[in-house]
Amino acid sequence: MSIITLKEIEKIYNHTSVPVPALKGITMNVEKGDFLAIVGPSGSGKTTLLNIIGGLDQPTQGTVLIDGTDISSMKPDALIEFRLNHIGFVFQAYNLIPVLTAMENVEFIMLLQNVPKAERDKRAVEILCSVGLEERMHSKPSELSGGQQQRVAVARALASCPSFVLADEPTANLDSASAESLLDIMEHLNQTQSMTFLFSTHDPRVMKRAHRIVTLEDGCLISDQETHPHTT
Amino acid sequence: MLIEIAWKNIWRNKKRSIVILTAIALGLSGGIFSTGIMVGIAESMVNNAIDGDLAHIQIHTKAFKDNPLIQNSIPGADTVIQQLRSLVGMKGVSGRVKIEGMASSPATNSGVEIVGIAPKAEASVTSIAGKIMEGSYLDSSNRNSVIIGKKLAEKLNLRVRSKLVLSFAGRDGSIIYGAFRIAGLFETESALFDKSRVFALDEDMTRLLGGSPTVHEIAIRLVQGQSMPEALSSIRSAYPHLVVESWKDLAPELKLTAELTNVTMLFFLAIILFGLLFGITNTMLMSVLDRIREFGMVMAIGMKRKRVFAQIILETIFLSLSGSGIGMALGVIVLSITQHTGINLSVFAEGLSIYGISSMLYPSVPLELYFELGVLIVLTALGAAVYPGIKATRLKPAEAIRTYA
Repeated sequence: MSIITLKEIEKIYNHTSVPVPALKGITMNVEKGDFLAIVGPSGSGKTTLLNIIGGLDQPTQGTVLIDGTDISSMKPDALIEFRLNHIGFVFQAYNLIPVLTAMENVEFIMLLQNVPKAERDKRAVEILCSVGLEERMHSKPSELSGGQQQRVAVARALASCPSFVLADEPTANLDSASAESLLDIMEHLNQTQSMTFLFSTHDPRVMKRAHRIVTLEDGCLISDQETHPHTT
Repeated sequence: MLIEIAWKNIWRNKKRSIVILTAIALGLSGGIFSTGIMVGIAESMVNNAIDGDLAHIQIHTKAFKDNPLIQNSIPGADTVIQQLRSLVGMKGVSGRVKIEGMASSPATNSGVEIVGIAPKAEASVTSIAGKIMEGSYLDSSNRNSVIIGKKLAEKLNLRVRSKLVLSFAGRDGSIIYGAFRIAGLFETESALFDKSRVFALDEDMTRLLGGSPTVHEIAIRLVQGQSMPEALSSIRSAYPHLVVESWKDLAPELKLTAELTNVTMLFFLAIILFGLLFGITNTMLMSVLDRIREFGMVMAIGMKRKRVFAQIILETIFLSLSGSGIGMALGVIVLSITQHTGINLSVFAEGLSIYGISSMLYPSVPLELYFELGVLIVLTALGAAVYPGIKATRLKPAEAIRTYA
């Protein structure tokens, strides 16, 4: 069953007097367990598509179904609630809360879900261990390397038990070793827990690992290739 | 955890927070101290008036209130005084003969109010016995002696032991003269009082008035903690034919001063807080603008706008309460010290005495003012949080995440 279904998605920006079409009639499905990279040159619409799938932006036309729910016409507050419970986010610039430790950053999202303290602690420890940060749980972001911070961000994304994780250029700020290590972790989670990952990326290392590559150009989906067999 | 995050966020930019905390602390401590001085001045005026002459309660006949003539005295005053002394909560009860008259010396004369008193009883009601600067207080055994204000003595060019002639209209309208010797000179906080009062023995006044005991005014001092309304009510019900008034009825201007001071000072503190509101708003706005990407992120991952708003309110309240706490503590420390040592304003003694204010000032802030101030601080914090809060909640997560502050 598809966890994400996009039907004829169009997005036109009206920031200036001239309407700028960012996405033109995108139709695609994402299956549970996909390890999918959305690629394409700058301005091709990767981030816009990721924002629409993540409920951070709404399409001008078309339908977005996540787990069977149409989010394209949801009210802002309902969308926030939906994102909290269905979508995990990993951002290019890590975006951790600097005053909190790695563990507290992971717990934060569970706090928003009103998960009891004992369960929050247990789950945060488990997830941080699964991304190899058992030694750095009580470190603040400023005490962690870029790669470690991005691993905390992945742990935070997983902590809410989402249907899938959206990662916007997750390796863009990382050196090769950190990028490979992060991809190893995400690939491992994909294979062992069937966690679905969607990346927007320019990074060939990510493309090489992706099981499916969707290519955009000028807002149009020009190819959708499966490069590795599906995990589920 | 949100509380913890809010507290930690205050200290993200220590310099900025310390600057606003210092502003709040200094503003409030200054405000509290100024309030203490103003309230202290008002209390000084009230206490000096009560101590010097008014007492807590006074009783007259209605006729005397309408027309203060000698014959309008309180009938059966001795019995009334004895009965009042037996009531619970009475610290002292003094009967007074009050006559408008003239004080004359070989040099000049001056219009005065002659007050005939029983020295011991009067000492239990007012503090006049303790205000003698030269000579001694009245003594019942020392006939035809008076005490007068130092200022009146200066005006009449008299000293202790000098002779003074008092003249006033008798019951039949004839002028009565009496020669007295000055036993002592008093100096109170009120220049007007010192220039216009002559205290004589009630027995001497009775003799001059023809032998029948005369009391025009009964002054009552209550023990500390005794409820004024209760005392008034019981005395009024016991003597319905007499006019029983509290110092607030007798000196409404003092009552107004005492009541207005608290309100005025609360208003003054509110103005200080209103000024601080803009400083706090600016600090919180800077804090929000510094964290646009973070707010975008938390809203993207699922933090509701009302929770973001609540977090900013919490941060503002913490910031305001921290500054206010320091300010209040500073204010209380300064007040405690000056309440103990007093503030010597003797340089302005002459000017202050016109208004009946002591030259040694003891600042005082009523406890309820701190509670009112606490409410004002929380309201200020809430007011200061509104604009930054709205600014944060109106952010669009998709755009905010890509902001590089």
